[in-house]
Amino acid sequence: MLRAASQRTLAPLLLALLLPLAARAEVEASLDLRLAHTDGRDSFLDGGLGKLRYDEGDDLLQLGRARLAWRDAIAGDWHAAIDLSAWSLDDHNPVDVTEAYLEWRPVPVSSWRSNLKLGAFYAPVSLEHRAPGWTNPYTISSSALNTWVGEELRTIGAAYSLEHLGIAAGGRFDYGAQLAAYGWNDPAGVVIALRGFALHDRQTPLFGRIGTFAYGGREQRVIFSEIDNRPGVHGSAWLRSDLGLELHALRYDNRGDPTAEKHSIDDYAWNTRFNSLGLRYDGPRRTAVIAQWLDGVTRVTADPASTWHFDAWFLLLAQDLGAHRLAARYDDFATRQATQYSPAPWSREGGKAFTLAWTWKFNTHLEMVTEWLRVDSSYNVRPMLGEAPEAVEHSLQMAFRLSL
Amino acid sequence: MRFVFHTLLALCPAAVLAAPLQIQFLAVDGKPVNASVVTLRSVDASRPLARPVPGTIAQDDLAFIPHVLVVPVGSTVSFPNNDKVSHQVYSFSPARSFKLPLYRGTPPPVTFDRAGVVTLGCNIHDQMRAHVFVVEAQYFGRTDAGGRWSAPDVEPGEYQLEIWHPLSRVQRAVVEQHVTVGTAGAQLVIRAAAALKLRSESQVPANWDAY
Repeated sequence: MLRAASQRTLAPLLLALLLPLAARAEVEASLDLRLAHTDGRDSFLDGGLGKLRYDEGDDLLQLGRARLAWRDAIAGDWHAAIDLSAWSLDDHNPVDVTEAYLEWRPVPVSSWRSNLKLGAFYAPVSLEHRAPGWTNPYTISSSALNTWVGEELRTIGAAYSLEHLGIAAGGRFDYGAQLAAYGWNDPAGVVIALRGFALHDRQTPLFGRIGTFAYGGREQRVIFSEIDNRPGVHGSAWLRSDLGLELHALRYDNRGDPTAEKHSIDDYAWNTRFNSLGLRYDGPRRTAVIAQWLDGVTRVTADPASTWHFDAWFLLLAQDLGAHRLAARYDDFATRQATQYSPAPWSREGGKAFTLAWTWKFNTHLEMVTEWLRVDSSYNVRPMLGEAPEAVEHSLQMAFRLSL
Repeated sequence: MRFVFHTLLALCPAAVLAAPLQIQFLAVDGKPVNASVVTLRSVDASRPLARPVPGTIAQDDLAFIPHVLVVPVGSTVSFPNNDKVSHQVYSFSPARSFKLPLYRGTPPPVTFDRAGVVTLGCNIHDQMRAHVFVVEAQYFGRTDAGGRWSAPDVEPGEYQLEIWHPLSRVQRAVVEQHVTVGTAGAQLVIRAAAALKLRSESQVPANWDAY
């Protein structure tokens, strides 16, 4: 009885405490409904080697993404943020987390600003994903390079940034650097090695799975897991000029022990390392140019033949015309198994893609994006699925994006 | 009669002697320069400066509106947040360093008591930028799309004219020159001596680019 009374007291008290917090919090909600017509091969989500999120067998009407995000100042200069998304009702978790972190973000009292993030968030690789929820505001499908970032990478740990806000102080440049240590990203590399690159907008949720080619069957890989108890690191630096030019560089090494194995998820720790460079120019007439390059290697097990090199680059041009944005992108990507350690056959993939997109922003709550995408790729593993190594895949998508 | 006229003249000189002044500011290539800040300061140091005025820079759709505000020294500026999300406005400019707490609604106004350019930012939304030009002058304003700025009631005399561009890469006036305003007023066309070198400050609507 006492317990019931306590609960009756506690509930209004909690409500009274939480309501002001909820009223002050920033809540973002958005829905992306998709019409997708494609001649793509069986999608990687179904264990195929297609490069697209949707394949020939998928329905025309799809859920692109439903998103709910919350952000609030919790104490002093500390903020909390969590991003929830639903990508498909068939997913392992229909609603899951893509990012969740605490951020120390003091107001700058000089041109130097510090920032500390604790939790799960993206490493600063992509220069495409500028909109909330790591959304690409230029095209529906991300570049091959950044699609992979969304699939396999997440910094689950801590990142400290120091930035010099020189432009606001009357100078010519802003510049900064970030250093991060993280765990739970040991399987990163399994997708790029077994399936290769892809082009789409689905991000792997923190507790979710990603379909991966598994020599003949559908397989749901866990990407965010700690296997070897060795933290990974990444370091990055950036320079931004007052003429609208930005340069980014990043070195990533998850320091995976390729011999460490975790039976519960049927995977090893993949030792994945890469360098990336990016350049973005925002012109005065609402022109944007983005170029990125990435080159890396991933290794698993004690067998040196289980080593794959991968590289990708893209060039994107975008122009805003009032409520419209036009964007065009060229992608180039390749993966290849190390050849010096074992006799053929080695897996080898190469491809290129062209993307054209038109965004029509009706108002602050509604926009429509139309995208045409063509991917030409060659992958010598495809014959294991009874397919020709070469594939030309097209997709035409229309996204109707509603945000509150 | 003459005595009465001179007495009236002495009692209300501005009302009687005020003259219109129009300035058109052109770039080196002859194209009008929009949104420049114009100040006119009398060389007579005894002349009173423009009085402080209340100003407003609102936050609408994750942008500061207006992007540039010109106010006399001593003015107070309020920062109403019309967005659904919280903002945290700050500046570390030497002319006025301040930080507002994270807020919605309208926090208490900020007084700008020192001349200079104050660059504003939002600590939550880095793409938000604005500038407050705090001026010591008798007359001030901004050029329109035709590069024109006019004041209908300038007291005749000698003035120092300064024109600033909010996006200039140099932190000083792009035009500084002596101007004489006669009793009939003046119309001046001023052409920049050198090409304006402007920063590329993103004018992209914030809802396109929230990061």
